[in-house]
Amino acid sequence: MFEYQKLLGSTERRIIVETKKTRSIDNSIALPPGEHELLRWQRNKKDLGRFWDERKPPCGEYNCAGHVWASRRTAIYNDEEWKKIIVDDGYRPLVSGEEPKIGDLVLYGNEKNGFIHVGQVVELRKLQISSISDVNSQKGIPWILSKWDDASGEYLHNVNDIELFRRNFPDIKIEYMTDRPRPDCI
Amino acid sequence: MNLLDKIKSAKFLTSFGFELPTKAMRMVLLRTEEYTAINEALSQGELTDTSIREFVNELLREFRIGERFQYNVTLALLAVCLERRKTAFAEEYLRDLAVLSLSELSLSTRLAKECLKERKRLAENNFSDYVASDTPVDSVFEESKFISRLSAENINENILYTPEAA
Repeated sequence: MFEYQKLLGSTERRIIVETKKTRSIDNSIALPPGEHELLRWQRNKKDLGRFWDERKPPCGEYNCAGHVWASRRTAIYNDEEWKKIIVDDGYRPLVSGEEPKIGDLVLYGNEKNGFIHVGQVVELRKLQISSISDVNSQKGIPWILSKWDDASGEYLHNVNDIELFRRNFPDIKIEYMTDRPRPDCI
Repeated sequence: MNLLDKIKSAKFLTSFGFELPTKAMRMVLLRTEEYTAINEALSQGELTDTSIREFVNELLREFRIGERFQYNVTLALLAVCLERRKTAFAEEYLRDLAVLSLSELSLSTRLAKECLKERKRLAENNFSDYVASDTPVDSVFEESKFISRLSAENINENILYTPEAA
């Protein structure tokens, strides 16, 4: 099977991406979205993106992990590679009571499937309703800049605005990661 | 619309919210009704390895260098469907797709690699499932003899198996 495609050799484009400990990260530069991908994203945006703020329209080249860890130059598809970066680059989960700060990462995933998505905290948005006494609303809700996949655009969204994932993974968990030193080590 | 036409329709191809990391994408495909329908059709002989081969060859006529292959999701779904099928065709499909290094087929290639990993894991653990085959059993599975019969539902659960008595 795929005889013609085999004859083409490689059309895949990669760049050198390494962790801080110089372990190589597998990556591939994505082609621009095709007709079906664009249709899919029009639908997603219409159905689920009411509160998304589009920074950049759909494009190829990178995915969520490539956005966060490869400066928008390539896509890193395998979550095993994500784990390598998290470990080697010294990311850690927030400790109990520690609040996310701008620049921290948010990772979405579950135990069975590993990481599903990653984005960066770019804003801590305080609610305008002054009567709300919820502690979280006082500290600000994290807003995330992320690229949903290698064919989507980049969107600013509420950290909990992930209906797109919940449809397939109702047990999805949200975890913040930071490269800041632990508060008790400062 | 027959089953194969359905999985190449724009409706199916645009029904996925987004593309996920490989492991999670495989899980999403495993849960589709099309996955279940194709496996049923294969086990009942309504679909054969030959018909899938012809279907894929037909799809590949639309392949264009420098463009995402528009039926990537279809090829990826078929990879997941063939993951547990112990026929020479299933092995050939997965291996030949996994070995490609084409940006145009990035998604389906990644899925095929993941399916091969899972297939290897299953073979090593002496797992098997029943398949109605129209091609010979592949040698990869010949060494292992099993009696376990797994349904689509328990694929990713704690799978119980009973090694066949030698």
